Amino acid sequence: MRLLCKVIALLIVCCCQNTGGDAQTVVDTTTAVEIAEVTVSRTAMEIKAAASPMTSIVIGDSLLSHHSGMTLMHTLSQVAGVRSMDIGAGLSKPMIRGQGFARVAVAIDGIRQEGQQWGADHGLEIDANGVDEVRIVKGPSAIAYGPDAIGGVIEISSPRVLNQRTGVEGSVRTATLNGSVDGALSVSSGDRRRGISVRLSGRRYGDYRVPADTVVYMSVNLPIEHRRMDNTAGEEMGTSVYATYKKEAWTGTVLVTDVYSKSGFWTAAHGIPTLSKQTDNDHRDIGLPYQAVNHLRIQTSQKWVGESSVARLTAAFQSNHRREMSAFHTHYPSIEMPSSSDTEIELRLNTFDMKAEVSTYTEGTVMWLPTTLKAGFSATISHNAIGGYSFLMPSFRRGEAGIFGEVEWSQTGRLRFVAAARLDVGRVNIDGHYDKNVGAYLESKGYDEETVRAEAQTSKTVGREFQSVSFSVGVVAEPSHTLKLRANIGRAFRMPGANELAINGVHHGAFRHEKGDASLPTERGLQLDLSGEINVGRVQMTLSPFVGYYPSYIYLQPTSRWSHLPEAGQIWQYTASKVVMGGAEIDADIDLPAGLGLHIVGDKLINRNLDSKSALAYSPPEDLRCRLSYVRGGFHSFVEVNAVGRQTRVAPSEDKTDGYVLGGGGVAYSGTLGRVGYDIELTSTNLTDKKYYNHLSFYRRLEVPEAGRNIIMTLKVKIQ
Amino acid sequence: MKKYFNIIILFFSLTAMTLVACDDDSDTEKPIISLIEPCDGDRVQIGNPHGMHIEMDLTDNEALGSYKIDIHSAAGHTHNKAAESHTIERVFDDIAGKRNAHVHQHDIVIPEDFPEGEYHFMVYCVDAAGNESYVVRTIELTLDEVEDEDEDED
Repeated sequence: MRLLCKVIALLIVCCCQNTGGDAQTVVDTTTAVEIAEVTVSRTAMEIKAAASPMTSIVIGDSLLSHHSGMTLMHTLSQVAGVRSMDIGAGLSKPMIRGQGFARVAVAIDGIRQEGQQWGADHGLEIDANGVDEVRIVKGPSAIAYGPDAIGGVIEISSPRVLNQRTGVEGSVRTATLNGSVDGALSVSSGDRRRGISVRLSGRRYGDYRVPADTVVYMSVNLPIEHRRMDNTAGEEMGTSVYATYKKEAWTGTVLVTDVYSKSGFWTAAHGIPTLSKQTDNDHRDIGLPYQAVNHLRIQTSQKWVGESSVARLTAAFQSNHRREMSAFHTHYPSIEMPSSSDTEIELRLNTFDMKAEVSTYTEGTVMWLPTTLKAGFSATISHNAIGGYSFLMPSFRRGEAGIFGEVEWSQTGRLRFVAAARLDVGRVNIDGHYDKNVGAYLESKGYDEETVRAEAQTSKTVGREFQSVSFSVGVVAEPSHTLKLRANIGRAFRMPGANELAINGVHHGAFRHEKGDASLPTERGLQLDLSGEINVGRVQMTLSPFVGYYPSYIYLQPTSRWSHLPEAGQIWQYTASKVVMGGAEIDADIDLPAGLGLHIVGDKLINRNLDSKSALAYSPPEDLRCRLSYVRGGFHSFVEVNAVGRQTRVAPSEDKTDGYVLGGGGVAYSGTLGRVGYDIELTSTNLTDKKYYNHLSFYRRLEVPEAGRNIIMTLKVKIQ
Repeated sequence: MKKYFNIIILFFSLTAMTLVACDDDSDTEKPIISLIEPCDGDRVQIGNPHGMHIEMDLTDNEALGSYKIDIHSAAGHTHNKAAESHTIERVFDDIAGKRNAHVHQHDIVIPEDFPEGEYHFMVYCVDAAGNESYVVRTIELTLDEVEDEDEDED
C-alpha cells in the first residue's frame, strides 16, 4: 500500500501544465511576433484555466489550424479525454470522459448552445470557422453553466476585435475523403473603443469514402458502390457578425450568428437495409432522406469594470430549427399521405437565456478575508414545437433558474481555495400525444384496449418540477514554479430531458422502440478530480485522474420485453441506475533538440453500472496519441500515431469493437509577402487507409467502417 | 497533508477495485440466430393452411428469452401511400431458459388477404439478460402453389 501510494504520488507530482499558449509554442509555426504575444500575454481563457481548480485545457490557434479535422469535434478529440461521436464524415458531437449528448455543454461566449443534443444522429450546429479559442472543462461544471453540464463544458470564444488592426482573412480548404470544398472570408476592424468582425463561410462535401466494398448489416450483405457511402453528402453555410463598443468602464458586445447545415443519411441505413435501395452515381447530390438544421443565435453582453468589481449581464436568444426529410412512408394504413411535404419530423426549439454576474475583489492582507466574491443569477426558458408526418419528440416548455455564489481565497498566488454553491429550480411541461394511427393499427392486430391505449400514447403529458443544490470545492496549489496541483470535488445535477421523461415510440434513426419514464429522478453525481502539472524546462506534463459516483444516472436500458409496433424489436427503457466511473488522462510535451518536439496524449476510462453490473453504452476505449513534430522557421511538419484499444466492456445489446492503430502526418509553411501573411498546409489522416470501427460512431451499429484515407489541403491568407 | 493524500489514494484505489474486481459478471453476449428457413428470395404461398416453414437454431451463452417473427411488406419503405396493414408480428417464448433451441415450426399462416410481393421476414431474439440480435430476409409472397421444401413435414 505504501509503495502504491508513493508510485501514485510520484505520478501526480510528475505532472504539468499544458494549458494554452505555453504548450502550444512547441508546435507553433506562426511568426516570431505572434509567439512572443502568446507567451507573454495570456488570453482570458488561459488565465481562467490556470486559476481553476477544475481540470481544463485551452486550445489555441495552433491546434485549431494545424491539426484540424473534418469537423470541430474531430479537431478537439485530439485532447486527452475528449472524443467525437461521428455521424458520417460531416457531422459530430462531443464526448468528455465518456459522457455525451446533453451531458456536455457547448457554450459560445458564456451561453450554452441549445439544440436537439439528445439525438444520436444529430450533429452540433457550430461554425468551425468562427472559433478563435476553445477551453475544455472536464467534469461537472454546474456553477458556471447551470445544471446539465454534468460531463463537462466546451467553451468557445469569439475573436477579439478591440485593438486589432483592420484586416481581411480568407481561407480555402479541400479534402479528398469526401471532395469537400470550404471557404471562409472575414473582415475585421477595431480601435480602442470599437470593433467589428463580419464572417461568411460555406462548405460543400460529397459522399465520403470507406475502405470497404461491402458491409454486412442485419445479416444482409450491402454493397458499397465505388467505396463511397451513398447520400452522405452535405452542405453548410455560416454567417456571423460580432461587434464591440467600449466606453469608459462599460463594454457592450453583440453577436449574431446563423449556421445552416444539410446532410444526407446513408440510404441503406434508413429503415431496414435492402438491396432495392438503389444507389445513384452522383456523389454530390443530397437526396432523401436528409436532415436540415438552421441555428440562429442573437446574443448581447454588457460588462462594467469598476475599481474592484466587475458586473456582467448576458442575454441570448437561440432558435434551432431541425427538419428531417424522408419520402413519405408509414406502417399505419389509416395515416393520410401529406399532400405537399416529405417532412418526417420537424423540431423548432427556441431558447432564451439570461445571466447576470457580479464579482468583487478585496485586496486584503488579512489571510482569512476572501479575495474574490462572486454572485450571480441565470435563467433559461425554452419551447420546443413539433411538426412533420411522423412523431418522435413531444412539444414541451421548460424553464430553469438558478442563483450561485463563489468564494475564492488566495495566498500570494501559491495557494488558491475556491468554494461555490448553486441552487437551481426547474420546471418542464411536456404535451401528451395520442397517435390514432398507431391505435387503429394495434386495434386491427387484435390487441386489448389497454395495450392499444398505452402504446398509441406516443408521448405522455408530463409536468415535473426539479430543484437541486450543486456545490464545488477545490484547491490549486503551486508549491514551486515547476509544479502545480489541483483537486476539486463537485456535485452534479441534471434535469431529465423530454425524451427521457415522455417518449414512447420507434426512433427512426436508431430503429428501436424507446420508452421514457415520467417518474425518473434527477440525475445526480459526485465527482473528485485531481490534476498535477509539472513544467521543468523541456518537459511539460499533466496527469489528471478522476472518480465519480452517480446514485442516479439515466440511460437507455434494453429489456426482454417486445414492442407491439411494427419493425421494432425489444423495448429500450429509460432507467436511472447507480453508476461509478473513474479514469485518468495524461498529456506530455517534450521539447527535443534540433527543433523536434514530442507530444503524447492518452486516456483511459472505466465505468460501471452497479445495477445491471455492466459497462455503460458508448464507453470510449483507451486511446494513446504520439506526435513527433519538427519546426524550423516558418516550416512545420509532424507525424502521428494514434492507437485505440479494443472495447470489450459493453452494455447489453451493444457490440464489442476492436482496437486499431492509425497513422497521420502533415507539413505546413507560414510566410509573409509584404502585408500579406499566408499559410499553406497539407495534412493527412488514416494514411494507411485502415478499415476500422469507432465504438462511438452513429454508424457503428450498422457495421459501417470509419472514413478512409483523407488528405486535407488548406490555404490561408491574411491581409492587414 | 500526508493524511489527506492517503485518503485520496484510498478513494481512488477503492473505486478502481469496484470497477475492475467485479468484471464480467453480467451477460452482454447476444444470442445467435442461425436461420435455416426461409432463405433470401424464397417464395412463400399465401393462405397455405400448413403454415410457413420456419427453421432455425437459437443459442445463447447463458439463457434464451424469447423470439419474435415480423413479416411486413418491403414496398412499405418506398414512396407509396401506406400499404394496407399486411404485417405479422408473433412472439414465441417456448425457448425461455434454454441455452440451445432448435426451432421448427409452421405456426404462421399467411392470411389470404395479403397481396403478392416482396416482404421482409425478420427474426428478433432476446436472451434473459435483454441482449438482442436479429436477422432479416427478403421473401416473396405469392398465390402460386409453392412446393414445400420441408420434407419431414409433421
